[in-house]
This record gives sequence, C-alpha cells and structure tokens, in this order.
Amino acid sequence: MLSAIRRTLHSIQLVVFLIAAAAAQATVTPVTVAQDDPLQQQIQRLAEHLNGALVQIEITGLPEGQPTRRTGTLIDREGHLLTHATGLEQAPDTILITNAQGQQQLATWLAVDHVRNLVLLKTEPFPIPALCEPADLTKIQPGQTVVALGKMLDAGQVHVSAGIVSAKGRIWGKATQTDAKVSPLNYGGPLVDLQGRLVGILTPLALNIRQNNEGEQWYDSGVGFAVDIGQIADRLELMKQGLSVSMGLGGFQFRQSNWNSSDFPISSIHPGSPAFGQLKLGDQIVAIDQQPVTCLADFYDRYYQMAAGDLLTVTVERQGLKENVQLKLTDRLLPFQFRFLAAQIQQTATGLEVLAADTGNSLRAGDQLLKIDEQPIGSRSELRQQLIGWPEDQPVNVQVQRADKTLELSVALQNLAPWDWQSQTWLDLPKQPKTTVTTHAIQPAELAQGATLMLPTVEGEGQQTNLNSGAPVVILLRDSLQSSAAVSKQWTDLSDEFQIPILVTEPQEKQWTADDADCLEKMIQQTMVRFPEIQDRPLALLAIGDASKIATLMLLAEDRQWSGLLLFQSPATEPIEKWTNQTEQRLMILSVDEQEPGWLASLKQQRVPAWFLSEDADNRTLMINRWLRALMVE
Amino acid sequence: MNKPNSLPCPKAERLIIALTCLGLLCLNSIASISRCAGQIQTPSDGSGGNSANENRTATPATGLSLETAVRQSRPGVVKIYGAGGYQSLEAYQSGFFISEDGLILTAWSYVLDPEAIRIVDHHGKRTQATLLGYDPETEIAILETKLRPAHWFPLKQATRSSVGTRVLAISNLFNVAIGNEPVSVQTGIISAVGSLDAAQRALKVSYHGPVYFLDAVTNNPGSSGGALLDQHGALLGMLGKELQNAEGGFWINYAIPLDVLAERVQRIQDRQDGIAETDSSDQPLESADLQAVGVTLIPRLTLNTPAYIEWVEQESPGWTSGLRPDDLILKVQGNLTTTRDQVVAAIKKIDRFAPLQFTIRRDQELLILTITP
Repeated sequence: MLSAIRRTLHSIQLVVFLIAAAAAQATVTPVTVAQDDPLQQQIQRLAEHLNGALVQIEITGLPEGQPTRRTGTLIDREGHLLTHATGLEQAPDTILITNAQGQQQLATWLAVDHVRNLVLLKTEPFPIPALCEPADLTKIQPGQTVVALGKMLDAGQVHVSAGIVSAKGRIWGKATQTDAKVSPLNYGGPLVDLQGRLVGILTPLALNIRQNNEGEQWYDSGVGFAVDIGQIADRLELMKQGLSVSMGLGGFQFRQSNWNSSDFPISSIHPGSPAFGQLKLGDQIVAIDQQPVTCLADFYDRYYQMAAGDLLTVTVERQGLKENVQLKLTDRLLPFQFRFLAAQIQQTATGLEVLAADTGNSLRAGDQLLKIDEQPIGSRSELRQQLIGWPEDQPVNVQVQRADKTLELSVALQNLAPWDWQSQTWLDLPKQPKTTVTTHAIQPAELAQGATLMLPTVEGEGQQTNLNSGAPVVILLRDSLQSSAAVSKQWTDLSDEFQIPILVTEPQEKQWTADDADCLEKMIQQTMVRFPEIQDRPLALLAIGDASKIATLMLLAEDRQWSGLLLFQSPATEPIEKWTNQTEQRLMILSVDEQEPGWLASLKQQRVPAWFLSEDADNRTLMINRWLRALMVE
Repeated sequence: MNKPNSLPCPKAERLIIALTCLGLLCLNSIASISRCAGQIQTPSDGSGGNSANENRTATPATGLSLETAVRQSRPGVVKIYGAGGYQSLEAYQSGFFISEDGLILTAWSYVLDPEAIRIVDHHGKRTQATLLGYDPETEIAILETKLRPAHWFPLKQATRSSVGTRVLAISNLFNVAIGNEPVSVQTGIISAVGSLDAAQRALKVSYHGPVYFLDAVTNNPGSSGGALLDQHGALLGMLGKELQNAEGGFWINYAIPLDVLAERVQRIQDRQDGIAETDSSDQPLESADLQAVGVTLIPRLTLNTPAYIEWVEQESPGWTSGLRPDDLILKVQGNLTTTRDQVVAAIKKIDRFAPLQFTIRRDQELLILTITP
C-alpha cells in the first residue's frame, strides 16, 4: 500500500514537472505561497518521525579540544548505532547516549570502519518508534530532495538541513554527495529521502583515503557526503562481532599520479607484502575481477573500497602476456628497513662500479656489480629495491666482475646509518677532476625572492657539469636570521667538495612561512627546466636554523619524493602515524638537536631511516658532511 | 515481522488533489523545493532605488513568491556603519526598521560605539542614527533615525515557527552591498528551534535563550542585525552574531525569534536609561561546595584527571544521595564534565542552596543522583 502511494507520488512529481515546464513557456502572474507548503510539512514530519532513530552521543576521555558531542543513528532495534569515526578510532573512556525522551545510558564501542570513516556502537535496546528503512539506492537520483539530520545541538529534537542529491558514487564509489549542509552538527546522522528512507550516514570523507578527516574542510560548503547504506550493510555483520574494517593494502604502488592515465605500470613492491613475489615491477593492471580497468582512477575506484582480508583479483599485462593474480589484502605492511652494502658505488655506462668499500666487506674498489641474489642489477634503484627488506643478519649473495673473473661474494649487510659505522675512512670521497662551481640565478617571475643554483663544472671543457654519480640535488633553506652573503662561500665549498648541485633558497618575507612551500616548489621546477642534466636526481632538503619548520612541512606534504632531510632545530610537529613514502626512494632524515622530537621517533618506529644526533649544532659542517655521505653510499 | 519503518505519507492523497487541481500552487512548490536549501545572493542591482527595476516581472523559472516577498521586504533592511575596521572587527552590520517613524533594531556591538552611527537605506539614502537603548543579554539595540521607511516590520508575533520552515535571511553579509547597493538575500530552512543553551559550554555567548538554528550560512561578518523572514516576507527574527563552537571549531547560524525581540524591545523602552534589565547574573552569591556535602574527589594529577570520587563521608548529604567512592562523575546538572577540573568549575556556578545533580558511572551502570543540601 505504502509503496503504491510512493509510486503514485513519484509519477505525480513527474507530471508536475511537466506542468511546470509547460507553464514556464507562458507568462505567469505572481501568486501567493500556499500556507501549507508540502515540502515544509514533509520535513517537519520527518523530523518528528525519525526523532527516535537518532541519539546524542557524549564522550569522555578524548584529548583536549576534541568535540565531546556528536550524533548517532540507530540501525536496528537491538541497540546498534553508527556514528562517524573521526576522533573515535579507538574506544574512549565512556560513551553516553541520550535518546529522544532524554533517557541516558552507556554504550560500548564495537568496531571502526576506517574505509568509510564510521564507528559501530552498541547500547541496551530501548523502544524506538521508527527506524530509517534503507532506501533503494538504485532509485535515488541526482536532483532528488534529501534531508540531513543531526542531534548535536539538542538530544530532544533533530536538527535538519534540506538539499538535493548532487551526485552518486562519490569518493571512490563509497558515498552519495549532497548540497544539504553537512557539518559536525550532523556528522554521524542519517541522510534520508523525503519518505524518511536511509540513503547513508553523514561522515567526513576525502579523496585522500588516509585522511578522511580532511573532508571536514568541506563543512557547510554545499559539498557533503553520506556513506552509501549498501556499503555499510556489507560489513555490518562482521563489525557487530567486534571486527574492525581496515583499509586493504596490496603493497604495490604506481609512479603515475595522473588519475586519468591508462598507463600506470607498477613501480614499487613492498617487501613481504601481498604483492611481493606475485606482482612484478612494470606489470600493468588491466582488470579487477575480470572487469576492465580503463584508467588509474578506475582502478582506485574499486581498490579503495576494499578492506583488509578481501581478495583482490587483478589481471596484469606482463611482457605482452596476460596473467591473473590474486592477492589477499592486508591491514599493514611490514616495516621496511634499508640495508647497506657499505660501499661507494658509481653508475657507469655498463652498470654499477664499486669506488670504495668498508674494510669489513668483501667488495673491492673496481668491482662491477652484476647480480644480487640472482637478479641482474644495472642501476642504483634496482640495487636499493633488492636490498630493502632483506632479512636481518643474513648475508646477501653478490655476483661481481673483478678484473677478468666473475666472483660470487657473500656480503654482510649494514643495518645502521653510515654515521654509526665503525670505520669511516673509506667514506672519504675519491679525488675528483679539477672543477669550479658556477652559480646561476633562479628567479621565477612572480616571486620577490629568487634562488641561486650552485653547479660544479669541469674547468675549461666547455662548462660541462661534473657531478658525483650518487649526488642528490640539495635544496638548501637558509636561516632567515643570517645574511645570505656571509654563508655563500661555505656552500660553494660544499658543492665543490661533494660535487653536488645546491639550490640556495631564501624566504619570501623576512621569515619562513607556510606560503614559502609553493614558492620553493616553483624554484625547483624552474631549476629542473633550465638544467635538465640534474632533473632525474633525487632531492634532499637541508634546513639551517629556523628553516626546519618549512622543510618538515614540505617533507610531510608528500608532493615530492625526498631522499633526505637534515635539520638543526626540531619543529613542533604532530607524530606521524602512517608514513606513505614510496619504498624505492630511500629517505634519510637526520635531526641534530638537544632533544629527540616526537614526530621523528614516530617515523623511526615505522623504520623510516631517521636518526637523531644530540651533537652540538655548532658542529654543523661535520654533520652536513656525514649526512651527504650517507645519502650517497649504498 | 517488522512493520515498515519509512514515513507514511498521509498527505499523499491530499497532495494528489492539490497538485492536479491547483497547478499554480504545485508549480510554486516545485520551484521552491528545487532551491529550498540553496544559498541565493541577490545580484546587486545598484540601482539606488530605481523603481522600474523593483517592478521587474517575475520569471516563472526562478519562482514567483520569493521574489515578491524579497521585493516587498528588502527595503525594510538597512546597512549600518560605525566603529571597527581593524583586524577582524568589521565596521559594518545590518539592521531593520521596526516602526513607521524610523526606529531600527540591530545587534548591540562595538559598531554602535560612536556618537554618530551611519545608516544607508535600501535606496542608498544616507542618514545618521543615535543609540536609543540596548539589552545586554540578547545583545540587541534600538537606533533612532528621522527616516520614514518605505517598509518596516511590526514587532508582533503569534507563534514560533517550526523546523523545516523555509526562510529568507536579509543582511549585508561580508559588506558585499557596497555604496548605494541594497542588501543581500539568502534562503534556507529552520534546522532546529532550540536554545543556545543546548550547545552550552561549547558556545561562548551571553544569550542562552531560544533561537532558530538555520541551515543556510547566514551568520557572517556584517550580517548580525539582519532580518529573518518567512517566505511571505513576514518577520521571524533577527540574525545573531557570528558564533563559533569552541569545541568543534565550526560556526553556528542562528537568529533570535521575534517573540523574544518584542519582549526585550519592550524592556528597553520601559527604561529611562535605555538599558534593559537583566534577569540574573551567572555567578551565584555563594557557590556550592563538594566538601560541604561530604564528597572528596581524587587528587588532581594532570589536566585530564577524570572526576572519580575518592571518599564520601558517611551520613553526609553526598552519602545520603547515594554517591560512593570510585564513582565517576560524568555530568553535573546534566552537562557533560570530562575532567575533574570541569566538575570543579561546574560546581562553582551552582548556588550552594540549589540541588546538585550528578550523572555518575559505577562500573557499567549509569546513575543519576541528586544531593539536596
């Protein structure tokens, strides 16, 4: 009966639209509004009807400044309720709920769904006049009126905002988008259609799946999301048993970042991950579960909905052949650890050549590296990829060409940072041909302050650039308290000694601010365009004095891959929970200060090669020398 | 078997008749539905009172009624300029006429500090106003001008509007209407009717009385003192100040209802000095005291020490109410207290002769206990 009425209503709406369209052609004189506006009455009725299906949640034991109140939506008569996960990723001290009648009771935290940013809670059942019946999402159409409900302001009555469905299948296919005002006032509440049927649960979501909270920046903007009710239902039974839903990780990445591109070969594979030994570098994913994948976004659309424990079946194109690979996704990747051969390596036309090696190591100067663990090695990145995650305390088999002999060597790998190695003498760089350092002004048109590029060049031979084969481009962020002239000689000497390009940068204003990050990016881009010979080199950040804050910001922004960071003052930064830097890029962080900063410790726990030295910061030259050597050894 | 939970639609049949018989009504509804939550800002016509412009024919595509309501009521809203203009203190706000002899109701703020307050009306006409009086609690003020307004809003009100009511908010938000331009109009609905008290602790305002919460982003710099109207152009309330929730950091859009305005305006007019009498002060003469009722909390070790009870003296009022050692205090007088510090602060605000209500957790049990001193 009800559904018949709904169908009738639906067709009437259609008819009315036709009338409206026809009327729009004719001249219409103004009329007064009917006193009983049907939409207004329907919204009022919804607010009353569903009042009992929402509760106000209050939480104690959250960190200072976190909101203590939020909305919860009851999903059954057994006392299960959903709310958004932001700030509730773990069980808090106490969860108190207040129902529409003002009754209070405790609730327990059952499970979190990190993929959809929701939390399932359980409370003792109490009588509920009406629940939100799930809507049939296939019938929900963009343009349709929907209402967002919340209980943050008042436990006794719902707070409503009306809008339309802006789009379906948003945020990697997980959510319905609406222009109803969605904010902390109704996060955790339901988005319902005009008949009160549940379209989804309102929660902040963002395209960056690790940072769904960033979706809060959209609050009240006309861009809001409700996680599709169908997606929730799929996971609900497991969550009721207390099983949380984590993001499903395969352990492979693409260098391609353009979501529209159809060319996205796998560029790194995390050791020990589900993809390890299953996928190969260069594999191109062409289908998921036999469904063709047309571009990178198309792949993510399905991959980012998946949870740990799910099976991902991909079809890859490998050397012209198609292969099916099944991966059981995991919730965490094993921490990786960089290991070192403890040798200076030079890239030559034919491959990798050892320039110098630690005395405790069977490698010798002049050795050509051929294979590591049976895998041919031709470049630095292949070498690093091979050594990442190599089991601890296990020597690695290295095949080298020494003079006219091919030797199989067993090399014990170094785990520690180069500055902790016993013997340091071999780290001294071999004598380089006589060079001079030329300087070039980098001045993007729109910036007040430019930068200076220092580039070692061979004397007399037509200004040919001469760089150490493993040298990164060092982006030097000057101490804003020192004058530039006083320090310039020091950096020229450094560029000359290590045969490295150095880009000396200045703050745009008197002091470094967050706005400088964009300016620095522009300078780096212009440098790379003008000097293509250095554009494939890794980049490292060297921050002097107060520049450490902006340097850390740039590192964490993840817009670029950095190979190193050296700081002399540790900025106050929140601990970093999940480091997502690609494995193939070795990142060496050295912080020199009086006390170890918390964020650095959090990176070390994830085995990012970060070190802290409590040396006197005055001994700066020595620290810079050690850090640069560490960036260049293998 | 569960009954279907979705909202029954008893209006449906009436709708069928209404929609088929009264085409125009439906047309109007649909047009309105399609933008009920949208935020509309009128294009600044900058006409400075060009009457031809005012009488432009309404086009059906954008709806009829709202245009009529806006055309009629917008001349009742004025722009107010005064002190400020540095840092985040804007030197402008909004107001509206409440009498045919040119009284203006607006928000009481630093903007009204100078002797001469400048008014720019709908037609770009400039005049000066003086502060007649104000109410420190609701933070509303009455200004006197010599203007004879084309439109004014009488302060009489029958009932308070309810949730879902479609509204117009008319103000000079962000000072978009520069020079002679008339003020801007937004639409939205009433999200909730409640008190600012409902969001207590999270809000820092002097007014805790009833308000309309709105789903349009109406409370912006310059909009306080603006008019909240229903879709027929009748006054519902006055847009409040910008209000940020101290916890979540988000902003709340609200208006003070007409019945409150009318009552407070009467209070202002009843007083010779023009300063409305306030009901009571927040701080009691003598605060309640936990020790006096025999209750000792655990020592304060950190900022976030939870409010566990360490000791309750036997036969004390605390004991008689049922409080016991190891109880965790979650709420005082119904307001959440997440730390020991918050419990202590909350109790300071209670008169020592008033009953003290605690919501406590004892293991997995929730109890509400009241101490009568």
